[in-house]
Amino acid sequence: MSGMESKLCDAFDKIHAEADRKERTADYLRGEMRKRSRAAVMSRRRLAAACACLVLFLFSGGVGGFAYFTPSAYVDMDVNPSIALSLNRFGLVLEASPYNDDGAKILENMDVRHKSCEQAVELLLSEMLRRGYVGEDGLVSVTIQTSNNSAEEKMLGKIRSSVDTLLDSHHLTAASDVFAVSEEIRDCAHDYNLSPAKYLAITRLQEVDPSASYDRCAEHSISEIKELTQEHCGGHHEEEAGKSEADNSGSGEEETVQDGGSGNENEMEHKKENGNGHHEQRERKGHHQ
Amino acid sequence: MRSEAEVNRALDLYADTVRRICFMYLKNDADVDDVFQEVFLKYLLHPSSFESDAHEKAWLIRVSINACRDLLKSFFRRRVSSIEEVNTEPFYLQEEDKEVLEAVLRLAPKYRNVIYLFYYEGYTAVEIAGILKRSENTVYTWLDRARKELKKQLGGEWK
Repeated sequence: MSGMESKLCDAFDKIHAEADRKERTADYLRGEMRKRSRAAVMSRRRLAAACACLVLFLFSGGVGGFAYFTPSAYVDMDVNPSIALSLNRFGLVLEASPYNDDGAKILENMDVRHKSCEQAVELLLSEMLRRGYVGEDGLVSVTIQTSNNSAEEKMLGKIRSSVDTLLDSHHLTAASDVFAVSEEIRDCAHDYNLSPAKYLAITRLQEVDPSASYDRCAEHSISEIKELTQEHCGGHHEEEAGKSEADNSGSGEEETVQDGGSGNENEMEHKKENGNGHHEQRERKGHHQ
Repeated sequence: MRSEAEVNRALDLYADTVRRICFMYLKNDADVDDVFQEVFLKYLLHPSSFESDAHEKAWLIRVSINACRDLLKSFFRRRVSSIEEVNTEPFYLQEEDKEVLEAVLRLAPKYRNVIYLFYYEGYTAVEIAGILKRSENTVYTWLDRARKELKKQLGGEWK
């Protein structure tokens, strides 16, 4: 190493880090270490909290979604366009499906999903009125099936008043028939792809005219089926006035049908005035025994 | 994150090296503190272990040079340095030391680095090329020019 090179090295060698600078740096680094370990604990806590929130969110979302998208009630309309609505526990429509071609036509350009059940019934009925499905002497049948009794009462009241108000506003004398049915009745009706109201009407017709079949009557409106029943009833009553009671006194079902049959004679006149909740309640209980 | 003991060991071993690099770049005392803090904080947070002490030292030299350059480049430093400039030249240096060191400081920064690393730290041109991330030929060229410059200023022989 030449003289100049060693001079250079000696000069560099004399440069040292000042003790106080080293101390300041050490202090700074200790502070950073504390800050970062606290931040690491905090971030672990935050991560845990975030995970907990996520789990809660997913869980509540799952439960909420499940609650929203699970049907808890069914409303079936039959004018002659025949439509089934499934509702969630919040009374909102999840799905609307037709039972027949007329029902499909009504639903073609309508989406009643996520609307309240009364709104949906009003919209659908308005469309049916607009298309002329409800005549002067027509019948608007709506059935409700739910396992929640208190909801059932409320829904019956609301739908009854919606339908009546709408018919009144169109100055129609058409009758309305809103009642509850059991799950069994609805299942039986579905076996024939019928609304519960039409299924019950045909069942009643069959009691007086055994030749009537569900398939054949499916395309008739409920009011037509009831007219036929009335016609047959008149004849039968004359022939079998005392006989039926003697023969069938032990059968609750027969008794109910007899009641239903005789009730039908005045049905058109008194449905709207009296409401027939009581009448129909008896009817559905009789049929699903 | 490294332990406090590891950081203290690094401070004891390498603080002088970092200080010499700062001396070649910085005039401001607060800047030297900033570079010390930045370099040793990077060391504290360096995720992987070093292959050897030599590797560790080379890493610290590179980080120190970069920290000094970054500080000089920073917009804020360029705006305020003229107001806060404080001479940080170590007060204990003698006249003949000052003469040699001032000649080094008059060189362009890239030449200062190679002179310091080659003559004082004893690195070969190949090792310097690795530390500065330059080609070997570039290092040779810089060394050659730096030697000529020093010879012009100080006389004597430079090999």
